[in-house]
Amino acid sequence: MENNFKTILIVFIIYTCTALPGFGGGFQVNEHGARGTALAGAVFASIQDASAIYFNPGALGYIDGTSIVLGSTLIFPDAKFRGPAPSIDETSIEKRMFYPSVLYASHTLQNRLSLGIGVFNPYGLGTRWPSDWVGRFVAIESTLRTFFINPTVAYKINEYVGIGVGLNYVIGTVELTQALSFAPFSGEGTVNLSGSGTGFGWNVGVYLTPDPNVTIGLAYRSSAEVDFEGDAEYLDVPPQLIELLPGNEVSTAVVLPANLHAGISFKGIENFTINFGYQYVFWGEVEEIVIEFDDGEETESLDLNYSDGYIIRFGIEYQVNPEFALRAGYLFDSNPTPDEYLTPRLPDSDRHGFTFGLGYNITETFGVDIGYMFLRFVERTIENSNIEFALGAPMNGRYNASANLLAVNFRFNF
Amino acid sequence: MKIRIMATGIMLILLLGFWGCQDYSELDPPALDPGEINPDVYVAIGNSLTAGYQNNALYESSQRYSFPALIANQLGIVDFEQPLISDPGIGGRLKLTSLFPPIIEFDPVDAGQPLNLNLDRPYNNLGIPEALLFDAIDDTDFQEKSDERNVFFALILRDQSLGNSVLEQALSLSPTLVTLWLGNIEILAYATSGGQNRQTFQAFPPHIFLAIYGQVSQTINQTDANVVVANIPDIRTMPFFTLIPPFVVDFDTNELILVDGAPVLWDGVTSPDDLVLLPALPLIQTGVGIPPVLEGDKGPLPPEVVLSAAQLDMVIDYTNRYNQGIEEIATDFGFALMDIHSSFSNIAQHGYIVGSDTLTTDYVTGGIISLDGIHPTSRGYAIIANLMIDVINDQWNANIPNVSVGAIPGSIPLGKKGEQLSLKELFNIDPNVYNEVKEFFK
Repeated sequence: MENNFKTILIVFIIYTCTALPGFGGGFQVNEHGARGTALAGAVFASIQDASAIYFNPGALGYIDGTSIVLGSTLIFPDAKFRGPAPSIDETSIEKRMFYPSVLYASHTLQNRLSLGIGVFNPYGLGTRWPSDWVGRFVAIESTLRTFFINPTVAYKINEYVGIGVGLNYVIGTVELTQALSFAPFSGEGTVNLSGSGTGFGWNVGVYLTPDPNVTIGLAYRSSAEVDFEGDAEYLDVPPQLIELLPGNEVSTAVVLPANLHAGISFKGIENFTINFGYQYVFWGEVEEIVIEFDDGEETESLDLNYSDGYIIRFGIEYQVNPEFALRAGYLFDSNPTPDEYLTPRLPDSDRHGFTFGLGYNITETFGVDIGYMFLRFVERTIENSNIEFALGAPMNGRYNASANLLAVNFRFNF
Repeated sequence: MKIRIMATGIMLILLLGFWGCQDYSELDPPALDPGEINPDVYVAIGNSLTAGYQNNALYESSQRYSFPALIANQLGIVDFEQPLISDPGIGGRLKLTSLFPPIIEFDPVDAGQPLNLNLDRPYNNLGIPEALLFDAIDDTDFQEKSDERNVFFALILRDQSLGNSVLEQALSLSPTLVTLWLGNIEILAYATSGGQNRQTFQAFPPHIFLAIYGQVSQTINQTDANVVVANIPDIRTMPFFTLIPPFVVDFDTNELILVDGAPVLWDGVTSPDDLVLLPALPLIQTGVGIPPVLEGDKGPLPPEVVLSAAQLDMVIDYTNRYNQGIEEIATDFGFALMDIHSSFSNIAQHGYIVGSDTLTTDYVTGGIISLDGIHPTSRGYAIIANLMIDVINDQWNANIPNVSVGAIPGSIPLGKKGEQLSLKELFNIDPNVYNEVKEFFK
C-alpha cells in the first residue's frame, strides 16, 4: 500500500510538472475535484472524499478509512482582444489546453484523527498571444504555475463538529515574454523573464452538523508569498543597445492571496442535496509585482492594484441510487482587476460558470466523477487603460473570453 | 419524475451555456468624418519632407511613414501610390553603429532599387527630394534635370507623357485634396552651406518666390480640390544648426571651456550668435577651429561650416518674408495654412508629449529628427501628419483621427559595426557622412 502510494505520487508529480495550470478569477484556479466542478464548487459544506484537504479540512475527519482522489481538469480557454481602439482588429490567444491536477490522500484513524496530504495547483495562468500582435510590447507569453503540497491533520470532535489544519508548501515557476521597442532606434527585440521559487502558507477549516440534514463549512487559506529568482534573457538586441538594458539576474515576489470559504448544504428533500457556497478572495493583497534586476539595481513594476473579489456558488446534487449521482451548478466570480490595469496577460472579467456532471461508484471501493463547466467571461470594454502598447498609446479595446472545463477524477475508498 | 425535473434543469443550464458560447462583441469601426473635404484623390506636392526622406536617404521603410502616406491612411485611402525605393534606399542612409560612444556610418549612395516604377499614372506623393518651388512648374526634360541635379526627378516624374511638370502630373489625377509644401530647399541650400551657396537666394528673392507661389496656387485653385499649404520652419529647430555651440566645449563633459572666467569662441566664429554647422564636427576633431589661446594651430573653421550672425539674419528674413507671403496667398485662395514654423519652434523648445514621455528635437536620442540633423524621423513625420490633420479638421469641419505617434516604430537605423571607424566620441563622426548631407543641399 505504502509503495503503491509512493508510485502514484511520483507519477502524479511528473505528470503535473509538465502541465500548465490555468485560467481562474485573477490568476486563480478553483477546480480541484470533478465533483466540486460539477457542483460549481459549492462543496465547502458537502464533501465525500479526500478533496476536503482543499475545500475544507474540517470535514476530513468524516471521511472513513482511506480515501484517495486523483484527477485532472482539462481547461480549454479562449480569449480575444479587439483594438486597440479605435482599431477593431481582433486577435486571439493561441489555442492551448491546460490540465491542473489534484491528488488527495487521507486516512482516518479509529480515534477520529485524520491525516492527509494534497497536491494541487490553486494559482496559475497561461496566455500566449501571437508574437507579432499589436500588444506584443505588453505581453506575448505569460505563464505562472504553482504547486501546493498540503499536509493536513483533522479531528472529528463529535457528531456535530470537526476541525482541521494544514500547512502549504508552495513551489512556483513563472515565465513572462514581451517584445521590446528600441525607439527612437529602429527594430525590436524580445525579453523573456523566467524564474522559480517557493513559499509557505497554512489553512484551517471547521465542519458543523447542527442538524442531520444541514451541514455548514467554514475554511480559511492563508496568503503565501512566493519569492522567485531567475533570468532575463534578451533576444535580437543590437549590440550597440545592449548597455541600455538592465541586467540578467532577476528576482520578484508574488503574493498568492488568502481565501475564505463558507458553505451550507441541505439534505432530506427526497434525494436532493442543495449546496450554497461563498468564497471571499483577498486579492487586495496583490498590488504590484516588482521585478528586480541585479540585486535591485534596477526595478520594473507591474501594477495590478487588485481589489478583493468574491465567488458565489450554487450546486444541486441528485442521488439517483446509491451508485449514481447527477449534479449541476452555477457560479458567479467577480473579477479583482480595475479597468485601468487590465492587461492582456490576464484578460480577466466577471464570469458566469454553468456546470453539470455525474458521479458513479463502479465498485464499493472505486468510483469516478466527471464534471463539465462552461465559463462565460462578461465582455469587457476598456476606455481608460494605464497600460501602453506603444509610447503614449493606451491599450484600450474590448476583451471577450470563455473557457470550457472538463474535470475527471477517480476515487478509491477502503 | 425527479430525474425529469433534474434533466430539464440541466438542459436549461446547457442552453444558457450555449447562449454564452457565442462571441457577442458587436463593434462598429470608428466614424471617420471627412467634413467638407472629399478624400477620394489626395496628391502631395513638395520636396524631401513630403517624400519621407530621412537619415539622408529615401527608402521604403521611411516612405511608409511619409506624412502624406500617414494622412492617406487616416483618411482610409487605399490607392495612395508612392515612388517606393527598396531599403537602404538612395542617398546614402546614415546609421548608428555604436551608441556608447555614438558612431555613425552610411550605406552606399545608390543601394536601393525603385519598386513602383511601372505605375501607369502619376504618383500621389510627388515629393521630390531637393525640389525647389520652381520645379513644380518647370517642364524641362526630367532626365536632363536628373543628370544635372539628382536621380529622383527621373525616378519620380518618369515620363513626360504623364505630364510635363510636377503640377501637370498632379492635376492630371483630378485631385480632391492637395497638400503643397515647398520653399524649404531655397532656404536650406543657403543655410547648410554656411551662406556660400547664394544661388537660390539670388534666383528667388521673396518677391520672385512669391510670384511663383501665386502662379502655382492659381493653377491648383482651378481644380475643385481642398488645398493645404505649409510654411517654412525655422532652421534653428534642427540639430544640424544647433548641436555645436559657438563656444569651445570640452567634448568629454559637454561643458564650456573658460579662459579668464569667460567662454571662448571657436576660431572662425566671430559672434555668439553665429551657428556652427554639423559638418564642423569632424574638422573640430582634427583640431581645426581651436583658437590659438587654447593652443590650437590648425587654423579657423572654414566659412562653409559657420553660418554667421549676419547670414543667419538673412535666412530668418527670407524665411519670414516667404512665410508672410505664403500666408497671404493662402488667405486669398481660401487654402488652409499649416503653420509648421510656429509648431516646430514650439516643439523644439518644449518637446512633443506622447503619453507620459516627451519626444524632443535632440540629436540622435530625441526621437523627432533623424541622423542627418534636418529631416524628421518616422515619428517626426507622424507629428507633422497630425499637425496637418488638425488644420484640415479645423478648416473644413472634419473629424479625421490623429496618428498614434507612439505606435510609429523608431526609425534611426542601427547598422553592423564596420571596420574603417573607431571614433570614440559623439563628435568623432566620419567627415564623409556630413559631406553627404551637405551634398544633398548643394
